Amino acid sequence: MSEDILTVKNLETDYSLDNGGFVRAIRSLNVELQKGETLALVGESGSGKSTLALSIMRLIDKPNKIADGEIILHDSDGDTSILELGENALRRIRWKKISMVFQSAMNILNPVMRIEDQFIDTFEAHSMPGDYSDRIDKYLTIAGLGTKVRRLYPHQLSGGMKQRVSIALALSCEPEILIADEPTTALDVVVQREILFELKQLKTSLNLSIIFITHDLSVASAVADRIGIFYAGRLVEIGRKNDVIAKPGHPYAKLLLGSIVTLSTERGKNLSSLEGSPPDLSKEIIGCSFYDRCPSRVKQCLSYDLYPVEVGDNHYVECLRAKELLESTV
Amino acid sequence: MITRRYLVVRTTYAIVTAFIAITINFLLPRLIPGNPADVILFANYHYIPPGKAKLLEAQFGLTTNNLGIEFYDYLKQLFLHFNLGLSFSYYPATVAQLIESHLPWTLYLLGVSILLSSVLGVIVGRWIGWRAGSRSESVTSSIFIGLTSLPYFWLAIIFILLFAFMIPIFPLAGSFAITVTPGLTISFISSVITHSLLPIITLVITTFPAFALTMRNTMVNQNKEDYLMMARARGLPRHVIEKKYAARNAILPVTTHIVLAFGYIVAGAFFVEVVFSYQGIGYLLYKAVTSYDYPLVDGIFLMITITVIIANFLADMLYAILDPRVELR
Amino acid sequence: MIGNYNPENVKAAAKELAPAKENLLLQIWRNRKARIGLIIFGFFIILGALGHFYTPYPATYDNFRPWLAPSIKHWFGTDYDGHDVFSQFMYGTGVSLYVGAAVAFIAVTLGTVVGLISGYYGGLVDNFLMRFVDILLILPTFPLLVILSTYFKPTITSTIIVIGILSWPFMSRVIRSQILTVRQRPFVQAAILAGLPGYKIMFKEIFKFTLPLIIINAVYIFVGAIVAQAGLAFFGLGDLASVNWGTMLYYAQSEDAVIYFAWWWIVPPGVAIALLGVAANIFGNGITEVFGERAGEI
Repeated sequence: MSEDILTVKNLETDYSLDNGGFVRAIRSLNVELQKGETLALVGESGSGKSTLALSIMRLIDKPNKIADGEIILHDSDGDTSILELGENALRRIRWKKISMVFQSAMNILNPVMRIEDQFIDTFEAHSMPGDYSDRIDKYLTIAGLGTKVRRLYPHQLSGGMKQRVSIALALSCEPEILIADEPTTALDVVVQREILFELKQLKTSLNLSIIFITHDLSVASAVADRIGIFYAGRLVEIGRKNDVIAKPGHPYAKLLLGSIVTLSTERGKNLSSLEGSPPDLSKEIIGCSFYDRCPSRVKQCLSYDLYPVEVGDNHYVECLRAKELLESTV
Repeated sequence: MITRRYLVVRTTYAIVTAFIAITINFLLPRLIPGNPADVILFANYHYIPPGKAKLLEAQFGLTTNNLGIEFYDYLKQLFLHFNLGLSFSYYPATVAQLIESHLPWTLYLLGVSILLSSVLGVIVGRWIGWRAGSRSESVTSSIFIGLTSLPYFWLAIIFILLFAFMIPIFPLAGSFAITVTPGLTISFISSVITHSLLPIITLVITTFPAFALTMRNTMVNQNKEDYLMMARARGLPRHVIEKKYAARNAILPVTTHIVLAFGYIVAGAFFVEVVFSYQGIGYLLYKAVTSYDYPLVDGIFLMITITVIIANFLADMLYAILDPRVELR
Repeated sequence: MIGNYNPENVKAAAKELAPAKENLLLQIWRNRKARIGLIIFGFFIILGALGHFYTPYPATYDNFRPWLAPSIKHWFGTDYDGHDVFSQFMYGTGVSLYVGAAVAFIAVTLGTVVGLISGYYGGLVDNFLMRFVDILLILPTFPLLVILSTYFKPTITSTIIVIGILSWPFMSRVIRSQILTVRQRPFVQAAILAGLPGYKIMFKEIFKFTLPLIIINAVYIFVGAIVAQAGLAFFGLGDLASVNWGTMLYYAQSEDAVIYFAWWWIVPPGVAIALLGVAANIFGNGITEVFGERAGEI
């Protein structure tokens, strides 16, 4: 088993509501990222996958909060508990150790600064060594952009170019971990494919560990080493890509995979076979959160204390009937 | 970024607007029913003195019945000789001379007030913007809403009542004391400054809160912007984010607001001048209006409009430097 | 621009405003800020309406002793000429509010029509109208008001017309940008494709989205016009025989109320104008809250 670079333990993240209550967007989540792998996290919108990304970067703002848990970075400097860092120490971890490509690049760059200046202030913030100018050119080229881009302002770039700039920016401080939050959703299919291909190449050449967040299982299967399935703020299944795709253990993952054929042709309709809606996360959920929609539910599911069941080599499923269901399909 | 296209478009606007102002100026005396000369003389003397009517008609350039030729002559006089005619009430002074001697005072009042209001507006707005939602912020904002609602001239009267009359710490009226002679002497300059303090304070107090509120609102909205989150994710130090990202972007709507408020502040300066008997254009206009000195009213209207057009043009250029996206607007 | 209102507020509001519903007034009344604004307006409207029929003494009666300080007999004292200031204030409230309302009517009509046409038809019409509006926005309003009022014999009606004609450009811009946003909505696109005539689409589908903006602008223009009229009167331009807040301040200034320390004569009209300004701002913020919240529902 390869070594972990990031561990998330018992994470709970809350969004507060106007009426004083809150929505628990992430519920007691455990996951680890292995060194050099691409972990794809798949789920519907609102399932908490983006919240996980923001929690790792500690970009959850008041009045929302990370209520509990630990996020630990393991690297050459030893173990760092991200949630306990002070402002300055946190600042140094961000981008230098863990960087991120955001979902929409439309508004991600400061509209009144040239592209190169936004690189330079990032470099200055982390006291990067070497010639900044060379570094900018290098990463713009890596991201498939011409070096002329550096003199431009964000509004002079297309959506695809902005996303490439944000990838170049994300890589430019040589981070160890890259979180890519639906980096290609806003782009057209051709550009999407190009960028996915480049990310895959970069991972090996730059020795990155990637958390790749997407709602699109076909994208996940194209880029990932391991796949995790999100539902209602929890990881309901995780395992090596082939294991999850070939032998999904969780009823939700099965339904998700059942629609993968239509998925590559008709995006957005991939979950049409699912009836009902996800549970209300502002209320306490007892037992399995998928119960209401589950075709294989039994009474015991409601009193079941959630824990992952190992159904195969490094393949975990959070379902009471996981093993039983797996056997019945085989 | 000032591109050539932008420069051309903005210059065209300025010129067209100035031309419209000039045309209004030319047409108005000709639009009043009856012979303007008679109307004016009657308003002034309540009868029409013989001989004077002819003089006046010449003054207005009402020499022919051909509007085109008259307009041509009018433009020629204006641009070649800067001839705006003679003033009735300050005869034999020309309108141009009067404007020349009064305009600097107004420009001084306006310049200092706009500068102070903008700087204060941005700084104070930034301060309350970072504290949005707190008790101190909501109290400050409420007071500011009240201040922006005060009419300039009313506040000026109240200030005179309080700080020149009841507690005489400021001079009552004028742009400088009668006892000093104008010149580059310390006593003159200090007299000018003490006389301008209360007018400027009046203008600034009613103007800057509006700018501060705009700055506050945009600062609050900044926090929702993706690039601000991105800047934090990139690990930029807080002071860099505040300055180069949040404040730098929030300044743009404030600039728009300041430019839009120009006309309003000009009016404010006029009122303040009248209340303080401050020897600027506004005071001159007041005198001209109350003594039916039409050539002077016309001339002042033209000069003020052109000054505002120039100020607007300069502000547009400044805006283009501040915001690279300006072409897209 | 005549009023000193915050253009960003109005513009920001335009981005997110939802359409007005049927129970519009109730919807507005439920918001605390909007309610406070309405109560202040209501107070002055009642005072002004009352002043039209009844004042303690006739507003033009001038045989009291001049410069009397406030007392039970004269709540706001008397002025240089022996008028009862409170009676003048009550009567003048009605006149000032009438000017504001009439100007708001003219300007709102012009601003809405130009904004609707410009935003809906776009293209050349839009280009022409907006260039015209741009120019009007650059021209400083007050000197223009002064010169127009100098040449045309000032009456309350002429003052209303002049201020009204100069008050709409900013509003038309705001309405236009709201229309541009609404026009992109699927139901409008569908109506266009279905071949509905333009005026029908404008009034059936689009107009309700602009209603909240029209309300906000009307209120700002209303107060702005009262300030502008007072300013003109203060400059000696206007019907000086008419009793209103502006002429009260004009005479207070020209008859040296300061030297007699007659604060009771100066304070009421100024405070009244400021209160209306505050009411307009609070009300505007309230409206933004009401319709901003509802934007999410559609």
